[in-house]
Amino acid sequence: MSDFDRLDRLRGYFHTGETAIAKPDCLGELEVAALAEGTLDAELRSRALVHVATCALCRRAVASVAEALVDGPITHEIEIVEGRRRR
Amino acid sequence: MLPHARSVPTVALSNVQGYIQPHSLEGPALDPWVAELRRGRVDAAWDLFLDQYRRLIFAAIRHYAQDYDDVMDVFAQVCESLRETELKRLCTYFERPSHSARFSTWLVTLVRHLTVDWFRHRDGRRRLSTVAAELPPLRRRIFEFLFIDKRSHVESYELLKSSDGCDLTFGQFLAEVSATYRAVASGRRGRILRELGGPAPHVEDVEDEQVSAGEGRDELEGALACLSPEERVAVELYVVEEMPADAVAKVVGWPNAKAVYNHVYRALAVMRARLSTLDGVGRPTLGRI
Repeated sequence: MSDFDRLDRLRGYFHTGETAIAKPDCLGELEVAALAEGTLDAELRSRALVHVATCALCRRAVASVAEALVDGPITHEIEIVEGRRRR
Repeated sequence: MLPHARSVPTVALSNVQGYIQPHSLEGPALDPWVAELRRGRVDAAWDLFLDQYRRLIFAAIRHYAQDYDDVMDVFAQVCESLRETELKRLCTYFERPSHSARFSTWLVTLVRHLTVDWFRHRDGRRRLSTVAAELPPLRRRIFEFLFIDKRSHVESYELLKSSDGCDLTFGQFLAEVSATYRAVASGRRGRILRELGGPAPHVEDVEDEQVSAGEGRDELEGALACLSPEERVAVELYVVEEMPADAVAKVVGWPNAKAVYNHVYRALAVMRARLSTLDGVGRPTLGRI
Protein backbone atom coordinates (compact mmCIF):
# COMPACT_ATOMS: atom_id res chain seq x y z
CA MET A 1 0.00 0.00 0.00
CA SER A 2 1.42 3.42 -0.96
CA ASP A 3 1.65 6.35 1.43
CA PHE A 4 -1.06 8.06 -0.61
CA ASP A 5 -3.40 5.09 -0.19
CA ARG A 6 -2.69 4.97 3.50
CA LEU A 7 -3.49 8.65 3.92
CA ASP A 8 -6.61 8.19 1.83
CA ARG A 9 -7.73 5.39 4.14
CA LEU A 10 -6.94 7.45 7.19
CA ARG A 11 -9.22 10.24 5.97
CA GLY A 12 -12.11 7.86 6.39
CA TYR A 13 -11.73 8.04 10.15
CA PHE A 14 -12.05 11.79 10.44
CA HIS A 15 -15.20 13.83 10.05
CA THR A 16 -17.60 11.31 11.41
CA GLY A 17 -18.35 13.09 14.62
CA GLU A 18 -17.50 16.76 14.56
CA THR A 19 -20.14 19.35 15.13
CA ALA A 20 -19.13 22.57 13.43
CA ILE A 21 -20.67 25.22 15.63
CA ALA A 22 -19.21 28.69 16.17
CA LYS A 23 -17.94 29.23 19.71
CA PRO A 24 -17.20 32.45 21.59
CA ASP A 25 -13.47 31.81 21.38
CA CYS A 26 -13.46 31.18 17.62
CA LEU A 27 -10.73 33.09 15.78
CA GLY A 28 -11.37 36.50 14.27
CA GLU A 29 -10.67 37.31 10.64
CA LEU A 30 -7.29 38.84 11.38
CA GLU A 31 -6.10 35.74 13.26
CA VAL A 32 -7.37 33.41 10.54
CA ALA A 33 -5.61 35.55 7.92
CA ALA A 34 -2.36 35.64 9.90
CA LEU A 35 -2.40 31.88 10.50
CA ALA A 36 -3.09 31.18 6.83
CA GLU A 37 -0.23 33.38 5.62
CA GLY A 38 2.08 32.33 8.47
CA THR A 39 2.66 35.75 10.02
CA LEU A 40 1.16 35.32 13.48
CA ASP A 41 3.85 35.74 16.12
CA ALA A 42 4.90 32.61 17.99
CA GLU A 43 3.05 33.25 21.23
CA LEU A 44 -0.24 34.19 19.56
CA ARG A 45 0.12 31.31 17.14
CA SER A 46 0.53 28.80 19.97
CA ARG A 47 -2.59 30.15 21.63
CA ALA A 48 -4.56 30.10 18.37
CA LEU A 49 -3.50 26.55 17.53
CA VAL A 50 -4.85 25.26 20.85
CA HIS A 51 -8.27 26.44 19.66
CA VAL A 52 -7.84 25.40 16.01
CA ALA A 53 -6.87 21.88 17.12
CA THR A 54 -10.41 21.27 18.35
CA CYS A 55 -12.50 23.62 16.20
CA ALA A 56 -13.53 22.32 12.79
CA LEU A 57 -14.94 25.71 11.76
CA CYS A 58 -11.71 27.60 12.35
CA ARG A 59 -9.63 24.83 10.80
CA ARG A 60 -11.79 24.97 7.69
CA ALA A 61 -11.50 28.76 7.59
CA VAL A 62 -7.69 28.63 7.81
CA ALA A 63 -7.48 25.91 5.16
CA SER A 64 -9.91 27.77 2.93
CA VAL A 65 -8.00 31.08 3.12
CA ALA A 66 -4.67 29.31 2.59
CA GLU A 67 -6.14 27.70 -0.52
CA ALA A 68 -7.50 31.05 -1.73
CA LEU A 69 -4.10 32.70 -1.30
CA VAL A 70 -2.56 30.39 -3.90
CA ASP A 71 -5.47 30.77 -6.34
CA GLY A 72 -4.03 32.39 -9.48
CA PRO A 73 -6.53 35.25 -9.95
CA ILE A 74 -6.38 36.18 -6.25
CA THR A 75 -2.57 36.09 -6.18
CA HIS A 76 -2.52 38.24 -9.31
CA GLU A 77 -4.78 40.88 -7.77
CA ILE A 78 -2.89 40.88 -4.46
CA GLU A 79 0.35 41.54 -6.31
CA ILE A 80 -1.30 44.46 -8.09
CA VAL A 81 -2.78 46.09 -4.97
CA GLU A 82 0.52 45.64 -3.17
CA GLY A 83 2.36 47.31 -6.03
CA ARG A 84 4.35 44.25 -7.05
CA ARG A 85 2.72 43.95 -10.44
CA ARG A 86 1.19 46.37 -12.92
CA ARG A 87 -2.31 45.82 -14.21
CA MET B 1 9.38 53.81 -3.64
CA LEU B 2 6.33 51.58 -3.42
CA PRO B 3 3.67 52.76 -1.01
CA HIS B 4 3.88 49.52 0.92
CA ALA B 5 7.61 49.78 1.44
CA ARG B 6 7.42 52.95 3.49
CA SER B 7 5.80 51.75 6.67
CA VAL B 8 7.05 49.47 9.44
CA PRO B 9 7.18 46.74 10.59
CA THR B 10 8.11 44.47 7.73
CA VAL B 11 8.36 40.72 7.55
CA ALA B 12 9.73 38.33 4.97
CA LEU B 13 7.00 36.32 3.35
CA SER B 14 7.53 33.81 0.62
CA ASN B 15 5.03 34.26 -2.16
CA VAL B 16 3.65 31.62 -4.46
CA GLN B 17 6.55 31.85 -6.86
CA GLY B 18 8.79 30.78 -4.01
CA TYR B 19 11.05 33.81 -3.72
CA ILE B 20 11.40 35.93 -0.63
CA GLN B 21 10.24 39.50 -0.77
CA PRO B 22 9.68 41.95 2.07
CA HIS B 23 6.11 43.02 2.66
CA SER B 24 4.72 45.39 5.16
CA LEU B 25 2.06 44.06 7.45
CA GLU B 26 0.81 47.63 7.77
CA GLY B 27 -0.14 47.32 4.12
CA PRO B 28 -1.83 50.31 2.55
CA ALA B 29 -1.46 52.59 5.57
CA LEU B 30 -0.39 55.46 3.33
CA ASP B 31 -2.78 54.78 0.47
CA PRO B 32 -5.00 57.69 -0.60
CA TRP B 33 -8.19 56.03 0.61
CA VAL B 34 -6.74 55.64 4.10
CA ALA B 35 -5.71 59.28 4.11
CA GLU B 36 -9.27 60.26 3.18
CA LEU B 37 -10.63 57.98 5.87
CA ARG B 38 -8.41 59.64 8.46
CA ARG B 39 -9.68 63.03 7.33
CA GLY B 40 -13.20 61.79 7.98
CA ARG B 41 -14.17 61.92 4.30
CA VAL B 42 -15.91 58.59 4.27
CA ASP B 43 -17.50 58.73 0.82
CA ALA B 44 -14.26 59.75 -0.85
CA ALA B 45 -12.38 57.05 1.06
CA TRP B 46 -14.92 54.45 -0.04
CA ASP B 47 -14.69 55.43 -3.69
CA LEU B 48 -10.90 55.24 -3.63
CA PHE B 49 -10.92 51.96 -1.70
CA LEU B 50 -13.34 50.35 -4.09
CA ASP B 51 -11.40 51.60 -7.08
CA GLN B 52 -8.27 49.92 -5.71
CA TYR B 53 -9.71 46.70 -4.30
CA ARG B 54 -12.75 45.93 -6.45
CA ARG B 55 -10.91 43.37 -8.56
CA LEU B 56 -9.43 41.60 -5.56
CA ILE B 57 -12.86 41.40 -3.93
CA PHE B 58 -14.35 39.95 -7.11
CA ALA B 59 -11.48 37.45 -7.42
CA ALA B 60 -12.05 36.30 -3.84
CA ILE B 61 -15.81 35.95 -4.40
CA ARG B 62 -15.28 34.05 -7.66
CA HIS B 63 -13.02 31.62 -5.83
CA TYR B 64 -16.19 30.35 -4.12
CA ALA B 65 -19.04 31.32 -6.43
CA GLN B 66 -19.33 30.89 -10.17
CA ASP B 67 -22.85 31.96 -11.08
CA TYR B 68 -22.86 35.56 -12.31
CA ASP B 69 -25.92 36.53 -10.31
CA ASP B 70 -24.51 34.98 -7.15
CA VAL B 71 -21.22 36.81 -7.61
CA MET B 72 -22.96 40.15 -8.08
CA ASP B 73 -25.25 39.60 -5.10
CA VAL B 74 -22.35 38.61 -2.85
CA PHE B 75 -20.38 41.64 -4.07
CA ALA B 76 -23.28 43.90 -3.10
CA GLN B 77 -23.39 42.22 0.30
CA VAL B 78 -19.64 42.64 0.80
CA CYS B 79 -19.86 46.33 -0.14
CA GLU B 80 -22.79 46.87 2.19
CA SER B 81 -20.95 45.16 5.03
CA LEU B 82 -17.77 47.15 4.47
CA ARG B 83 -19.61 50.47 4.12
CA GLU B 84 -21.86 50.17 7.14
CA THR B 85 -21.31 52.47 10.09
CA GLU B 86 -18.90 54.70 8.18
CA LEU B 87 -16.54 51.94 7.08
CA LYS B 88 -16.30 50.55 10.59
CA ARG B 89 -14.71 47.27 9.54
CA LEU B 90 -11.97 49.04 7.60
CA CYS B 91 -11.44 51.49 10.45
CA THR B 92 -11.17 48.62 12.91
CA TYR B 93 -8.32 47.13 10.90
CA PHE B 94 -6.34 50.37 10.90
CA GLU B 95 -7.10 51.26 14.49
CA ARG B 96 -5.15 48.24 15.72
CA PRO B 97 -1.73 49.22 17.02
CA SER B 98 -0.12 46.45 14.98
CA HIS B 99 -1.22 43.99 12.34
CA SER B 100 -0.48 40.32 12.30
CA ALA B 101 -1.69 39.83 8.71
CA ARG B 102 -1.39 41.83 5.52
CA PHE B 103 -4.40 43.96 4.64
CA SER B 104 -4.97 42.06 1.40
CA THR B 105 -5.03 38.70 3.22
CA TRP B 106 -7.37 40.11 5.85
CA LEU B 107 -9.65 41.36 3.07
CA VAL B 108 -9.66 37.96 1.34
CA THR B 109 -10.50 36.34 4.69
CA LEU B 110 -13.32 38.79 5.32
CA VAL B 111 -14.74 38.28 1.82
CA ARG B 112 -14.57 34.50 2.34
CA HIS B 113 -16.54 34.76 5.58
CA LEU B 114 -19.13 37.08 4.06
CA THR B 115 -19.48 34.85 0.99
CA VAL B 116 -19.99 31.70 3.07
CA ASP B 117 -22.47 33.56 5.31
CA TRP B 118 -24.37 34.83 2.27
CA PHE B 119 -24.75 31.33 0.84
CA ARG B 120 -25.63 29.89 4.23
CA HIS B 121 -28.32 32.51 4.68
CA ARG B 122 -29.68 32.26 1.16
CA ASP B 123 -29.64 28.50 1.02
CA GLY B 124 -30.80 28.17 4.59
CA ARG B 125 -34.08 26.71 5.57
CA ARG B 126 -35.90 28.66 2.90
CA ARG B 127 -35.03 26.41 0.03
CA LEU B 128 -32.83 23.63 -1.17
CA SER B 129 -30.40 24.32 -3.93
CA THR B 130 -31.24 23.15 -7.41
CA VAL B 131 -28.65 20.41 -7.01
CA ALA B 132 -30.23 19.10 -3.82
CA ALA B 133 -33.71 19.19 -5.30
CA GLU B 134 -32.53 16.79 -7.98
CA LEU B 135 -31.18 14.28 -5.45
CA PRO B 136 -33.02 11.10 -4.50
CA PRO B 137 -35.04 11.51 -1.26
CA LEU B 138 -32.52 9.91 1.12
CA ARG B 139 -29.60 11.98 -0.21
CA ARG B 140 -31.72 15.12 -0.19
CA ARG B 141 -32.44 14.46 3.48
CA ILE B 142 -28.74 13.95 4.14
CA PHE B 143 -28.04 17.20 2.29
CA GLU B 144 -30.54 19.00 4.53
CA PHE B 145 -28.95 17.65 7.69
CA LEU B 146 -25.35 18.32 6.69
CA PHE B 147 -25.49 21.46 4.59
CA ILE B 148 -28.54 23.29 5.85
CA ASP B 149 -28.93 22.21 9.47
CA LYS B 150 -25.12 21.95 9.89
CA ARG B 151 -25.39 18.59 11.66
CA SER B 152 -22.37 16.34 12.06
CA HIS B 153 -22.33 13.01 10.26
CA VAL B 154 -23.06 11.17 13.49
CA GLU B 155 -25.98 13.44 14.40
CA SER B 156 -27.40 13.11 10.90
CA TYR B 157 -27.17 9.34 11.10
CA GLU B 158 -28.90 9.23 14.46
CA LEU B 159 -31.62 11.64 13.29
CA LEU B 160 -32.22 9.60 10.15
CA LYS B 161 -32.66 6.49 12.28
CA SER B 162 -34.80 8.05 14.99
CA SER B 163 -36.99 10.55 13.16
CA ASP B 164 -37.05 9.19 9.63
CA GLY B 165 -37.08 5.52 10.60
CA CYS B 166 -34.22 4.85 8.23
CA ASP B 167 -32.70 1.39 8.65
CA LEU B 168 -29.09 1.81 7.52
CA THR B 169 -25.84 0.69 9.11
CA PHE B 170 -23.40 3.51 9.73
CA GLY B 171 -21.26 2.22 6.87
CA GLN B 172 -24.21 2.29 4.48
CA PHE B 173 -25.09 5.75 5.71
CA LEU B 174 -21.55 7.01 5.05
CA ALA B 175 -21.74 5.56 1.55
CA GLU B 176 -24.87 7.64 0.99
CA VAL B 177 -23.14 10.69 2.48
CA SER B 178 -20.21 10.21 0.15
CA ALA B 179 -22.53 9.90 -2.85
CA THR B 180 -24.33 13.07 -1.76
CA TYR B 181 -21.04 14.96 -1.54
CA ARG B 182 -19.98 13.70 -4.96
CA ALA B 183 -23.28 14.79 -6.48
CA VAL B 184 -23.18 18.31 -5.08
CA ALA B 185 -19.43 18.85 -5.45
CA SER B 186 -19.42 17.95 -9.11
CA GLY B 187 -21.50 20.99 -9.96
CA ARG B 188 -20.50 24.61 -10.42
CA ARG B 189 -21.09 25.26 -6.76
CA GLY B 190 -18.78 22.51 -5.52
CA ARG B 191 -16.33 24.78 -3.74
CA ILE B 192 -18.90 26.78 -1.80
CA LEU B 193 -20.78 23.62 -0.89
CA ARG B 194 -17.60 22.21 0.58
CA GLU B 195 -17.37 25.38 2.69
CA LEU B 196 -20.92 24.87 3.87
CA GLY B 197 -20.70 21.17 4.51
CA GLY B 198 -17.07 20.38 5.33
CA PRO B 199 -14.96 17.63 3.78
CA ALA B 200 -16.61 14.42 2.66
CA PRO B 201 -15.95 11.14 4.45
CA HIS B 202 -14.07 8.36 2.68
CA VAL B 203 -16.54 5.65 3.37
CA GLU B 204 -14.98 2.73 1.57
CA ASP B 205 -12.66 2.47 4.56
CA VAL B 206 -15.33 1.65 7.09
CA GLU B 207 -14.77 -2.00 7.71
CA ASP B 208 -16.59 -2.69 10.93
CA GLU B 209 -20.13 -1.43 10.60
CA GLN B 210 -21.20 -2.94 13.88
CA VAL B 211 -19.14 -0.51 15.89
CA SER B 212 -21.08 2.66 16.61
CA ALA B 213 -19.96 5.94 15.08
CA GLY B 214 -19.78 7.46 18.53
CA GLU B 215 -17.27 4.87 19.68
CA GLY B 216 -15.08 5.48 16.64
CA ARG B 217 -15.22 9.20 17.22
CA ASP B 218 -14.34 8.88 20.91
CA GLU B 219 -11.37 6.65 20.17
CA LEU B 220 -10.09 8.93 17.46
CA GLU B 221 -10.62 11.92 19.72
CA GLY B 222 -8.62 10.15 22.43
CA ALA B 223 -5.79 9.40 20.01
CA LEU B 224 -5.74 12.99 18.72
CA ALA B 225 -5.65 14.24 22.31
CA CYS B 226 -2.23 12.56 22.69
CA LEU B 227 -0.79 15.03 20.19
CA SER B 228 0.37 18.57 20.79
CA PRO B 229 -1.93 21.26 19.33
CA GLU B 230 0.61 21.90 16.55
CA GLU B 231 0.78 18.22 15.62
CA ARG B 232 -2.96 17.80 15.77
CA VAL B 233 -3.58 20.82 13.54
CA ALA B 234 -0.90 19.59 11.14
CA VAL B 235 -2.49 16.13 10.94
CA GLU B 236 -5.96 17.58 10.40
CA LEU B 237 -4.83 20.12 7.77
CA TYR B 238 -2.53 17.76 5.90
CA VAL B 239 -4.60 14.59 6.06
CA VAL B 240 -8.18 15.83 6.16
CA GLU B 241 -8.09 19.24 4.50
CA GLU B 242 -5.47 17.98 2.03
CA MET B 243 -3.45 21.18 2.30
CA PRO B 244 0.02 21.13 0.75
CA ALA B 245 2.76 20.46 3.32
CA ASP B 246 4.45 23.83 2.78
CA ALA B 247 1.16 25.64 3.48
CA VAL B 248 0.69 23.56 6.64
CA ALA B 249 4.24 24.50 7.72
CA LYS B 250 3.32 28.19 7.53
CA VAL B 251 0.23 27.71 9.66
CA VAL B 252 1.90 25.74 12.46
CA GLY B 253 5.18 27.65 12.32
CA TRP B 254 7.48 24.86 11.17
CA PRO B 255 10.40 25.62 8.87
CA ASN B 256 9.39 23.66 5.77
CA ALA B 257 7.37 20.87 4.18
CA LYS B 258 9.86 18.22 5.31
CA ALA B 259 9.21 19.13 8.93
CA VAL B 260 5.49 18.63 8.28
CA TYR B 261 6.07 15.15 6.80
CA ASN B 262 8.23 14.19 9.77
CA HIS B 263 5.84 15.52 12.41
CA VAL B 264 2.71 14.13 10.74
CA TYR B 265 4.08 10.63 10.27
CA ARG B 266 5.42 10.63 13.82
CA ALA B 267 2.03 11.80 15.07
CA LEU B 268 0.28 9.06 13.09
CA ALA B 269 2.61 6.51 14.68
CA VAL B 270 1.66 7.79 18.13
CA MET B 271 -2.03 7.58 17.22
CA ARG B 272 -1.57 4.09 15.81
CA ALA B 273 0.11 2.95 19.02
CA ARG B 274 -2.69 4.41 21.08
CA LEU B 275 -5.45 2.94 18.93
CA SER B 276 -3.78 -0.45 18.82
CA THR B 277 -4.36 -0.74 22.55
CA LEU B 278 -8.09 -0.20 22.10
CA ASP B 279 -10.91 -2.17 20.59
CA GLY B 280 -12.90 -0.15 18.11
CA VAL B 281 -13.44 1.11 14.62
CA GLY B 282 -10.12 2.88 14.38
CA ARG B 283 -7.88 -0.02 15.26
CA PRO B 284 -7.79 -2.36 12.27
CA THR B 285 -6.96 0.11 9.53
CA LEU B 286 -4.92 2.60 11.49
CA GLY B 287 -2.84 -0.32 12.61
CA ARG B 288 -1.67 -0.75 9.04
CA ILE B 289 -0.79 2.88 8.42
